[in-house]
Amino acid sequence: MNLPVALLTIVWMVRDTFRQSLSTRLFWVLLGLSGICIAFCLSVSVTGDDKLPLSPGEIPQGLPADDERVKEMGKEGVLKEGVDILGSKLHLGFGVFEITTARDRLDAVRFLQIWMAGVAADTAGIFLVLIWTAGFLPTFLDPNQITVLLAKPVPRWSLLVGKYLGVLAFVFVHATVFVVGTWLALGVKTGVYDSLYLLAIPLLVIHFGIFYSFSVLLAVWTRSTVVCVFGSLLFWVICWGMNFGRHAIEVHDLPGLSPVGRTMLEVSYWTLPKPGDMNLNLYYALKAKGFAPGVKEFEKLKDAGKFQPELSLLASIAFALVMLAIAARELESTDY
Amino acid sequence: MTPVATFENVGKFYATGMLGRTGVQAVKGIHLKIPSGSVFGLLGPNRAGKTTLVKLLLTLARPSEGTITRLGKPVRDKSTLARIGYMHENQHFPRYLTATELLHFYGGLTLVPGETLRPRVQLLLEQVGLADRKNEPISQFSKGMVQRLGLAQALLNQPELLILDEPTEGLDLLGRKTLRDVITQQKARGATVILVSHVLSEVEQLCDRVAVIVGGKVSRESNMPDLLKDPKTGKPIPLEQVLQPLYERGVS
Repeated sequence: MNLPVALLTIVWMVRDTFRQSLSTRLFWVLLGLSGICIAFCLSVSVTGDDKLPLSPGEIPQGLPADDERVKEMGKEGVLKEGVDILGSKLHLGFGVFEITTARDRLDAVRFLQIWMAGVAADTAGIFLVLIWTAGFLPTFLDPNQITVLLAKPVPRWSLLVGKYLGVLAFVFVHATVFVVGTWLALGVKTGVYDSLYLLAIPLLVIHFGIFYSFSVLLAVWTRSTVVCVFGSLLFWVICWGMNFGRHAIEVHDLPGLSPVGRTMLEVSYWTLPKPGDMNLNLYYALKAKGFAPGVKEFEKLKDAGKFQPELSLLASIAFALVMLAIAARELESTDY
Repeated sequence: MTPVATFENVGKFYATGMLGRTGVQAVKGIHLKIPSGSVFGLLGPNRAGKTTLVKLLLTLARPSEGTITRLGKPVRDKSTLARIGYMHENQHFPRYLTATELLHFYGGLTLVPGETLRPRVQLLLEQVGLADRKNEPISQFSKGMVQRLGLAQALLNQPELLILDEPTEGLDLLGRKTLRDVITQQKARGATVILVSHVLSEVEQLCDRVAVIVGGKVSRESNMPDLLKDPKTGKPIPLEQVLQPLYERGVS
């Protein structure tokens, strides 16, 4: 294997994928969607969470505005005790919508960030990008297009890996634009710059990359965009079902499940990608508990100490590497 | 002189179906030596196996049997591909690239150094008559222009072996002249050209030697002057008259 040649090929393929994305206007569509989200964040403001001044060394104390003790003592009484009342008004759409929260400014901003990273990007965003990028590989693998490239002195696997990394780099750029853009916009408007939110960038890219590797394998097998779109989405749903089912059975400890069934479930769980776990990783990385409703079974598993986030993530990444290896092997042995 | 390519008892079976038991025997028992520095024509009716031979030579497909060498090395050694230029019969280039971008991209993958590539791209675009359209996306190119671009990309590495598979497809008169000039120039600088074509006038004019492939086998291999002579009378005969009975034998 000639590694410098392979690396050079990968660099060329990454550049080519960027050009491809620009030509399909996908780049601009995603940029536009990020722009809308950034504009939305610029329309946000938080008011009404003024805090009492702190003496040197004093630990701040606060009670949520809807706490029973606040109701009993009255706001004045609580403030007189030197305890802050945690409550703020979240203004959205330049004040068109107003949400009263029992949280302070930082938490109100985090609440928005969690919804944007967890729901907008990690679910809707990944689905959309999986659909929109599904055609990249089948087009590239069309015999009339790839034949001349395969007659070049470069390893076939490097063409495929380069294309895969090109799509990943493309998603990384957009994830960065989205997360950093919304983070800055919220920061400018509220004064809250919570760097935890930036963890969403690598987690989103990894989540996408794991499922896109399956799309790559489908592309090599079938060279069909339709199969890649529906196949990868269906695969995501199946993996989510398996992920949820395994955790539900683990938590509820179903008595009817035979040891063989349980073993098979465990094998499936550790073999296939785990989109639920990836959501959960993002959820906990952003310290989202209490801000957005989590899946009950997943939370119970976590509380019982049976959730292994690092191992789960590594197993999913291993799956992606195996998919890429099979796809590369398949391309290597395909007659054109 | 060492041949640039050799085929020894080469066969290719394209398996189809779930178990791969059925399929098509594209070529069988091929023995060929392509002499260095010549223009070698591969002739034959449709589905005779000409393109399969080209694909086997370029490692686009693997032989089911036999051995093939390319520039003195086994075909599995991909390094020799850096010394080969290939123009495909029905080339689709990425439509989002301009002609210049495409030649830099393909030149990079052919391992031509950047400093050599830049002037050569400009020169080749002029040679194939696309210099004035060099910054337009390929999506705006006609079929003939794409073929010209295909020819330019095949010449990026100044190949020792140039393989042209149906290169005249879609080319106008001027394009065909450019192609003829290119083949003549390549031969003059010592390169070998393999020409797969149905345009007999060009084959007759350009090739030094030809192999006629019929039904996946070499039906006849000869120097061009010998081929164009009646074996009995020694009188010249047109190429079409030579090929017709060979092709018909394959059909029957």
